[in-house]
Amino acid sequence: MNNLAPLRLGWTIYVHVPFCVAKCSYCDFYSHRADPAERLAYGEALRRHLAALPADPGGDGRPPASLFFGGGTPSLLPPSMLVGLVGTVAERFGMPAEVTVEANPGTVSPDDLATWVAGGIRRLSFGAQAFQGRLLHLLGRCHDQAAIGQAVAMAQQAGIEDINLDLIYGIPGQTLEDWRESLQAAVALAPTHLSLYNLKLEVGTPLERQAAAGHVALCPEEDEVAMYEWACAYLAAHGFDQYELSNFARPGYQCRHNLNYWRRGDYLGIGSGAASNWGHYRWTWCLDSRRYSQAWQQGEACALPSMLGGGSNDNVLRSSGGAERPAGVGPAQTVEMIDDFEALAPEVAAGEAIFLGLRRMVGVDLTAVAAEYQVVPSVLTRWQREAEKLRQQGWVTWDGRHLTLTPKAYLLSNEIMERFLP
Amino acid sequence: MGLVQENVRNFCIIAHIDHGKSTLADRILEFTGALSSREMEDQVLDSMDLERERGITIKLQAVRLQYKAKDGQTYTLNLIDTPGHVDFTYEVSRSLAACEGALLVVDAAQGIEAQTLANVYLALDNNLEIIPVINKIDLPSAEPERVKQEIEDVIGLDASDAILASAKSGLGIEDVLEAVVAKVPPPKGQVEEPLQCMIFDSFYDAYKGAISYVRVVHGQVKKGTKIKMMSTGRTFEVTEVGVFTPAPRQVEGLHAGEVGFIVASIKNVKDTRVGDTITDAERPAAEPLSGYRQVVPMVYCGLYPVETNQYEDLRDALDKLRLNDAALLYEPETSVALGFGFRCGFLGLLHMEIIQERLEREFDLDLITTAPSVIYRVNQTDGEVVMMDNPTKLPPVAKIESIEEPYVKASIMVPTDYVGAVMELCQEKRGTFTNMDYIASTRVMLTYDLPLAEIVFDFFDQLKSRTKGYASLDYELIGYRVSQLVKLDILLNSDLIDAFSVIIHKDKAYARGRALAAKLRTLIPRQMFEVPIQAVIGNKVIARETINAMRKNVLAKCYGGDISRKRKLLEKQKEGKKRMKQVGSVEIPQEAFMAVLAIDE
Repeated sequence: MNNLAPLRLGWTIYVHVPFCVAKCSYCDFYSHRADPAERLAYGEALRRHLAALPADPGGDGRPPASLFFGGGTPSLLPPSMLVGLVGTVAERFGMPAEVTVEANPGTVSPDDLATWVAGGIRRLSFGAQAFQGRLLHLLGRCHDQAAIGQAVAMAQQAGIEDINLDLIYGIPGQTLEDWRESLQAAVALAPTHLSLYNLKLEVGTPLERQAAAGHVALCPEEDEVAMYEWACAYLAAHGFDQYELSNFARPGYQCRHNLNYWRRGDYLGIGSGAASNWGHYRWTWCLDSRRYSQAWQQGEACALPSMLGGGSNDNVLRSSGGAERPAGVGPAQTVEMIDDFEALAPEVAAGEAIFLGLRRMVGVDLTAVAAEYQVVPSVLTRWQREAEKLRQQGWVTWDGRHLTLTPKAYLLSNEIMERFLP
Repeated sequence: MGLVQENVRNFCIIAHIDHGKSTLADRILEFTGALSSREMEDQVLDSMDLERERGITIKLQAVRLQYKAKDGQTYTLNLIDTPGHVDFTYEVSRSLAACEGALLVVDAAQGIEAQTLANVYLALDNNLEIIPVINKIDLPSAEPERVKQEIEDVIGLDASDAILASAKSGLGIEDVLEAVVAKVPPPKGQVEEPLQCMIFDSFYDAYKGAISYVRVVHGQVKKGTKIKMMSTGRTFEVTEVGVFTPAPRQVEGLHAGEVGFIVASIKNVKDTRVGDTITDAERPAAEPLSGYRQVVPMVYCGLYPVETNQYEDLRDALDKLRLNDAALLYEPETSVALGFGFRCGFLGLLHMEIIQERLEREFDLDLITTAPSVIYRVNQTDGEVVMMDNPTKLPPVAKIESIEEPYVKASIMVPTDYVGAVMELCQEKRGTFTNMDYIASTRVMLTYDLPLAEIVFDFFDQLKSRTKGYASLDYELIGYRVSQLVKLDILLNSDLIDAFSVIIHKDKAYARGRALAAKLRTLIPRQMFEVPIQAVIGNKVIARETINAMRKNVLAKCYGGDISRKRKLLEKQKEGKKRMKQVGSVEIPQEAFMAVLAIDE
């Protein structure tokens, strides 16, 4: 029925909650403070949006492979509302195998956790970031190092075993010693998953401005490299497999939701600022949560862009060839509700599939990508030539089909990935 | 109807850059009504964008004007524009051959400059009547009497009736035109004789083919005439003849003494060689006109497309430029570093820069230019003599008996205050002092013998900066002299990059090698591996630098909302690399190839 056959990979749902208690100094995501009434109105809009989606987007009757609440700080939604949204998804599409909520260590309580678990939430991702008070303060985080341990213990007691901790390296003033300490402390809490991020100073963030003004000293590149390399070795020795450039998991605990991103799978983003990808299309819902809430409240919003049916009565989502069907079935507001609608050319989408695939340690099958995105044969030939050249230089392993980065290429991966773009 | 030859005047303007030649030409056009002042766009004759931007004339142009003189008769004046820069002496000689007279324009404040002098001598060699015009007399610093004296002392022309003018304000323009009518002799050709036309320029038009700019010396040509190119013997039928007014306008025919253009469906640009004689195929002239002397390019460099697939486009572009630039020579060459390209010969550095800019601008090509080189004469131990225009062609050291390099006689006019600075510069550039003449109490002419290679490197820029722009330079080739020359090579990651090789005097090689290696280290971005840079003479490494390996270029995280942004980041990174040349395993930005030129030792 559906020509992209997303069933191959499954599809996923991402729900964005753009609220924070305070903005972190390095964050350039869409998030802001909001009063309880605004949070409630937003939660209701999310519910309506989920309920308005086609009944079977994947076309095979299967539930989404995962549901992920990210932010912002999803734990700022009232627990009953959060599990209500899980319920809406389960009722409409069936219960996803993985349901994750992002949380800040200081924002969870045993009662909340009990409600979440009862409502089907099985996985938590904590923004731990560091275990040194001065670094947490510099990052503008609201918690201290003790709160991380407490939150993880609380979650484990509530029955959640699958826990990720985010950690950041390359913070101004962070030493290799700090970093080792953080990793040791994190591993001691027995998480199943660790994400290690190299701090990037995004333009316009307070931390970037401080650095530009010379108020904080940047972490030397050599130190960042040493931190990454030490972490890879340390985590390998402690039972974590590196399965992506920045992600490590105990066997069996890789994050399904993120794996779908790196396979360039289909996902529907729900909420203000949430990005979606379906076949060749990609779009982001408007970066204005009040307008988003209002549109759903007044019944003027559409669950999907008009190119994909705009929430018409089709059950199945089309993934390409928007021209063959009358466009614009949704109300005029739909257009304004979307930021950055893109329709990607096959070679561009295929290039994405390769650079995303190369992030994974299992690599990417170039022949399969060429077939899936139907690129012309000369493009595959060009990829194969690049791959062979890189193999001779020792940056990749390559058997004529599967392309995988070698460890020495991890930190230089951008140099390699660009070669597979058109 | 043909014109009465008695009423035709062919003339050109000789001037130094900035002395107001183009402005004077504009005023003449305006005065004769060829253009109303409202239509007037400044400097009409300089039609190339590049000419207007740089304020110089590169290509000569010809315009026909009607002028009703004070004697009541109407004259046809053909004004042929000439370039003022030293590089374009050859172009000047072409315009001069099409004229009977020349206006010598001299700035009332600055006086005669070295290049003006060179062009005046060319005009005198061509037996042209010379009319001195002292321009910019309304400037506060104007000293017309001093300039008149200079003209008499230096050139030996009678300047007593020199015209005082200001092209800017329009002063003296009528006097200039009257002098042209009165002093420039009419052309002498015979309409009845067999056709002889001198091609003094040509131009390629996408619809009409190659268009020849001609001076008819004898006979006549009109639409339908079967013409023959005397050097190739090829024949064509004329489809159009015309003149520039300055807009092209068709006329019935062109007769002896007239200047205009001929269109004859000539597809191949090589069939309208500048300097060739056109005759009537059915009634040919016995002899061709004595053509122009063959131009000798003095400076050579390699031109390579950044994108290898632009090689054919580059060839086409060079073919088209060559059509109206006889001085441009090129032949295919291959560089290990840069792939397929052309070795091109130029009249000088400015000529080289202009060609390069025109190729990039008018033909939308991305080019890499290698360091300019002169032609060396290598005397081999086996007695053979090799002329070498590319450092990479230098024979092995064991086969070299000696190397000779071209020398020029450089004439530098400079205010007395800067004599010391100029002498110091010439010393540094390996010059030999030959003479110093006082032109006026405050200006001297210095004469030096200098290696052309030094002039090509950065002599002109240095001369200008050390004399605050007051010095002017002219030079002519005087032959070859033996020098202690060596070849300096650059190795990147142990690979010899031929595009960086230069021939240089032994005493300067060490300093240049060190400076070049250091400069390249700053210009070549970090690669995925460490890249050693070595400057080498023969087998000896004289300088070494290292470009450290890139350590980190990674996207820390990439989730659903990041993918487009990260893709664009990678696309941008890739776009940046396209402007670089992959040589062996190293990516080299275009600027690095030009670095060889701009080294401060």
